[in-house]
Amino acid sequence: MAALKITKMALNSVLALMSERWDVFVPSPSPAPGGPSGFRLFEPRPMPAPGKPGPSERDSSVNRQTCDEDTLWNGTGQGGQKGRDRENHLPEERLPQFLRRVLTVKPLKELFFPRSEPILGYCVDGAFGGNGDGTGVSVFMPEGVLPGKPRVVFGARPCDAASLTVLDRVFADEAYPDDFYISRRKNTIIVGLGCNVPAPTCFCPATGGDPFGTAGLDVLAYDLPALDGDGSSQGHYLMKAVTREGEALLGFLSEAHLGEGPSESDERACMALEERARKAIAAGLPADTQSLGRVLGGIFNHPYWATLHEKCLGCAACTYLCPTCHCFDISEEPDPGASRSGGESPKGGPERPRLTGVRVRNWDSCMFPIFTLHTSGHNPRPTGLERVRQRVMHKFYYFPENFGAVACVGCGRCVKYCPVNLDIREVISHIAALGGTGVAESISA
Amino acid sequence: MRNPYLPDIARIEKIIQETAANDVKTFRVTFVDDEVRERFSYRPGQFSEISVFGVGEAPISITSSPTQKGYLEFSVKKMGVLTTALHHSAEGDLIGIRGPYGNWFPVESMEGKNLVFIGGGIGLAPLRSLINYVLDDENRGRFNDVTIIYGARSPGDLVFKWELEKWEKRRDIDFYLTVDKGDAGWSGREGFVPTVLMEVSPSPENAVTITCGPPIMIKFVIQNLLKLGFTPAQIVTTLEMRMKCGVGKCGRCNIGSKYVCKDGPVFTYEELQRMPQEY
Repeated sequence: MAALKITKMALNSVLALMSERWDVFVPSPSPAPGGPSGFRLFEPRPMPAPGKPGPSERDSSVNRQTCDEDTLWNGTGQGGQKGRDRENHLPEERLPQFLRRVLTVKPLKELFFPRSEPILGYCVDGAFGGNGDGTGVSVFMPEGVLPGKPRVVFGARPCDAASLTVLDRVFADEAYPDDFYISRRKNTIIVGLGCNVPAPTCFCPATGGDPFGTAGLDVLAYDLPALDGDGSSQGHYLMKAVTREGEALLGFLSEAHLGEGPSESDERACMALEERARKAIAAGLPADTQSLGRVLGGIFNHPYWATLHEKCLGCAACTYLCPTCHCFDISEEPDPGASRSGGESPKGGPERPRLTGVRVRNWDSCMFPIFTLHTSGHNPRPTGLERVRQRVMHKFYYFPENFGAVACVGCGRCVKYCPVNLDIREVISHIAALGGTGVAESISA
Repeated sequence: MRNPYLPDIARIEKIIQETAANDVKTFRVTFVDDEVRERFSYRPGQFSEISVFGVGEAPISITSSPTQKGYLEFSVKKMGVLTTALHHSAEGDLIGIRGPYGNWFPVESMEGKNLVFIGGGIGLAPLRSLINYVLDDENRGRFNDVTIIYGARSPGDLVFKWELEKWEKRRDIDFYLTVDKGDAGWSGREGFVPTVLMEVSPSPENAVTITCGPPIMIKFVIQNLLKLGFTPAQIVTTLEMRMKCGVGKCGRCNIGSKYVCKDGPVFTYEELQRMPQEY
């Protein structure tokens, strides 16, 4: 099945049907008031008992009032002013409206590279180093780390999907393949949603992306608005398969009679959406980032960095929310009560202490001083200057040099959520301009 | 499931106190699993991530030579949390080891050349792997003259004294031992390593020099080597950096686009000159 059109009213049924076979993740507001939106497991609601009003009827009047852009964007509008329905998913009939507006605060990478995950468990007898005869220490895969059920993500933005093709280069390399990441990638089908109205912070075309780009996607969905005079409909999703996996997914839905093939006018509508979005996003784009490396290679010691970093607080919000940032820390989490003392190992004795725990990897950030701090006290990146420079250099120079792609997809999260308005688009354009003036050549020489 | 972070278990067979202050110890370890012992092959200059369970991991260079079969040696200075825990361990204890990681000294291109080793303090540890590789009976003939200049702050800070004696006795090595400042029992040479280097004044003709030590020593050694006529490509060194994963993913040990864990830790000075001065 190459393409399938469903009504938005049927979205909930579509997701519910998919949930029987896959774990389905959709962009959702945070369950915590004021918390960041992100991708969460879709849980189909039980059907309302006959005779009682269903949730869609009950809430339909509230929805239209509360689903304005700001409350949706901030993930605080899901309960309405009456505070009802604050659950870990949206009332289903609001989902299409939420999807239309939202680039989640938290990036898609979390589904593949979690903020924190155990990478091994260990069990040590004798508290220090085993039983003294070569036994008593074991390391193993912690349980429940890898996904069992295959997954579908519905409603990922093309920039987020493109970010996975960046992360693939790091985690699915030939030398040291990382199956924590790879296994999740392999068992996840991603249905993207093209961006009819790019946000003011969006700049994907400057990174090689597109509001309707298909990189990293298995299916691309178009949000087709209701036609004029069709007040009863919220419009349609037209889903086009990108990969074979995507085709299979659409085939599965088609077999359940949940949609129909697109008409010629639908195709024209899709093209119109693409054109309009590209035109809208073209205004205010920064310089193209794909040739930025040529300039960056020559301005390591340029005075610009000293000015640039001054307002950076080093909060690392940009790196945590960045869909392509992949730096991590590895730390030890011994189970509570399992302490090890220094000094000699206990040898023998009836009571042999046992140490168990896990080793976890957590997102980390190059914006933190401790990130590169040596035990000796030496720090190769001692101030904000080196750290901000590292972030920019890594994204637009080092990463392209190593992997042939910029490590930025233009999602604009770092622009939107930087507390001091350090706008990466301005940085990009400034650096490009340095190249244009020939400063780069003079500095490198 | 390929888990690049899963270590193999090894037993500490022997612990050697290296320094008077007991802040450097050498750990001789063997893999518990025979199969791992067979599989684990490394080249001089590579490192491993050492686990002390319940504490964590740290990257440590392998100081033994691949010609020494059946075991690995790591010389560790007590500096931080992990190294302190390791110093508290006893013979018979089990630790985790994964690796080997990183690149290695360019052994093939050193064949037929005069080798000049210049080490300072614990910086001798990574050089020692290559030195013993070169000195091995099967390999010695492939290399020309061997000069070793090694120094430490004080006689008590010299490491591998038990082995230095053997090197001193060998007639196929020019061996120069020095300390910054001697003590009552010291009758040997006094002077900083870079100064001794100028006194020894090795010829750059058909030579490669390999140096490791404190950053300040490396800096002046390189300056002096250039004065002696060595080209940057003839100067090989090995770097340290804060590391976590060891496999080029966690993102902290890069110098420019090079990851010290994967593209290093061994670099020529010529390579370093092309990299940003951020290490």
